[in-house]
Amino acid sequence: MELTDVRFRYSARAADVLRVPHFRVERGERLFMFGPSGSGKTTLLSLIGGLFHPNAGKISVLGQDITAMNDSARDGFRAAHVGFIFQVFNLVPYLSILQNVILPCKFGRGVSTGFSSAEAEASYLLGQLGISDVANKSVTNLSIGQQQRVAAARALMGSPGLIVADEPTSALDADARNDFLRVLFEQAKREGSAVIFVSHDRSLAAQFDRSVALADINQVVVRGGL
Amino acid sequence: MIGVMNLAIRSLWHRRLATAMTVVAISLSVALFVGVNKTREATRDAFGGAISRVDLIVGPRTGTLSLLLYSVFHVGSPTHNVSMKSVQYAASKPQVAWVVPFSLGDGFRGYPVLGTTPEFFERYKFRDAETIRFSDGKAFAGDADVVIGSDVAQSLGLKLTDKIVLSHGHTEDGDGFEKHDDHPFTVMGITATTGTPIDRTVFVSLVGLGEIHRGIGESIGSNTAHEPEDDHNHNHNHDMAQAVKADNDEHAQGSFAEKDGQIVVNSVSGFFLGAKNRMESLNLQSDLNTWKDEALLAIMPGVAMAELWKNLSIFETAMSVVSFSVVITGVLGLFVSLLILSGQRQREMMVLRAVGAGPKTIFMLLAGEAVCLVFAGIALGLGVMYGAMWVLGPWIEKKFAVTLALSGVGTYDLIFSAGLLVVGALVGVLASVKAYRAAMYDGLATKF
Repeated sequence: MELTDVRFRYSARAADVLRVPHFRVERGERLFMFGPSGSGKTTLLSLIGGLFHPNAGKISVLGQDITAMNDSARDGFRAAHVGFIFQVFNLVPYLSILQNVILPCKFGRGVSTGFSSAEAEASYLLGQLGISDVANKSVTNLSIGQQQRVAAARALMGSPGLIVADEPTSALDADARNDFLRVLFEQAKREGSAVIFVSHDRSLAAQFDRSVALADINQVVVRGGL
Repeated sequence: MIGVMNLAIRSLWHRRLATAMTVVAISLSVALFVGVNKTREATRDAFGGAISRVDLIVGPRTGTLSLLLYSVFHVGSPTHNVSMKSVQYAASKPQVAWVVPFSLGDGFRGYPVLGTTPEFFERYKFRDAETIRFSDGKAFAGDADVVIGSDVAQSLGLKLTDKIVLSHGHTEDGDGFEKHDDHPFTVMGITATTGTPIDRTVFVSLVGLGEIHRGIGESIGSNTAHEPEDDHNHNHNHDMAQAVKADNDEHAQGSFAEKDGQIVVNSVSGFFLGAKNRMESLNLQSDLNTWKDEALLAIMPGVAMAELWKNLSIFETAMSVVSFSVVITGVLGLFVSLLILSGQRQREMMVLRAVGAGPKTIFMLLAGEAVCLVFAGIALGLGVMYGAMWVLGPWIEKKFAVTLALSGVGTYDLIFSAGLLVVGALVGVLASVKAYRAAMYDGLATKF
């Protein structure tokens, strides 16, 4: 994953919110990123996921230049190769837990080798994440910790190559947080996925291969939080 | 793109109570709109189809609508008569193919009694020149025979050869059973349902109508010295021994005289006329309207019907406006419920975006749900309406003499439904703009 001379602004007349001369994450690397609110973390993740198109520069993910793709190709690429985990409300309430986990497969995510079907892999992942017992529960009946694990299972489906986690543990207590990180890392390692983990909780940084401050990669000076 | 419809259906099912309410609201508005429209069409058909193949209706000089109303719909009563001399004059004209005189004003247990000639059943047509058929029996032949409409037979439980006594005057009650000294009529025929006022009419011969009055035995006296009290009767027949006058109140139903024990018809309420060539009816009309000997009014049923319809169109328009307003209310309800939802669904849209859903998918999902709602509403509304028409149709027909055509979903309904579907989809998209914009332009920002 590599960003080169990327600039982004929300509208033509607005100021740049992001100016990244160079930022690189290796395959399989576990990166911890921190920074205050409003420093452009979410914007950066949206760019990496291909939800936004930079005003200038080049972004390549898993060796492919996503800035050269058209919108629908980028959506397809994201579905296939990037798994997201958010802070809260990761799940679609009207889908079952299993359906939530295999949701990316509806948009182009593959199934990891060794599994006969998306459902088989989803069951396996739920088992690995220690929540196979809730597979039949309604999404709305899950605890937040369980919800985050389901979200992790979805992100890990089909070994996406890059997992982007946006403060996924901030709603969890300390025990649940460490538990969550442990299983996430286990599975990411098994599948060879890189993890970009964003949080303002710097106590977690020690568990990662590398840690960066967003201020170090983004040249736009943040004037106060949002 | 795969399974977007599946997603939409699951999402709707997840909010099934709200979904059901929205669908019901839309279906009610659709049912009302279609129902009002059907009723309007049926009413128009019932009115327009009440008379056919009669070129002119001729009566005493009153208003066009009044003549039409009492001659065809048996609403109101004639206040004047037309002398048989005028009937004969019209019949003698070379352009005239036939005339069928009629007299009105009496009633049998709330149903109007029409005195006419048996030829009426051959000449008087309804809808598209449909002939009056008999479900039982045949046209009356003698003066003690009566033909009853299908509704009369059904609601009074009358069958062939039953004897009934016709009362004098347009009464609402009266037992209708044979009384001593009364002149009983024998049911000779029952007409098949026509969906026109014919169904609710009792037919007797003109002489038979005269018999009713003789049977009652009122107003019989010598008329050699003076005219009967109501001077608008043109029965200047001094040869008759006795004049049997119809009534003393405002309505007239022809006048009769008795000669050698026989009823003689002096005048009638009016007559139906058929021209040999329909092109002649305009000439005939002006001819009869300007006849010096008697003040007549000849009207063309179609023209008069159009005039009647024009008078009723305000009511019709009001009904349409109301039903259309209800549809707008239904669509607004849809808009509001989707608008409220769209705020709640931003998060869900963002999740779908994150797992790879493109703008098209998001759009299809939001619009698809709205279309599903509207489609279900339309289907339910049409189903309810047609079901109700199917169930209540016979009752409505009986009660109001209006036939609701159950000829499947009409073109008008289809155009309306398609239009509503498009509007519903647009409303759905419009209401979902917030969620859509959030999904498209907020990226992964967690706005709450």
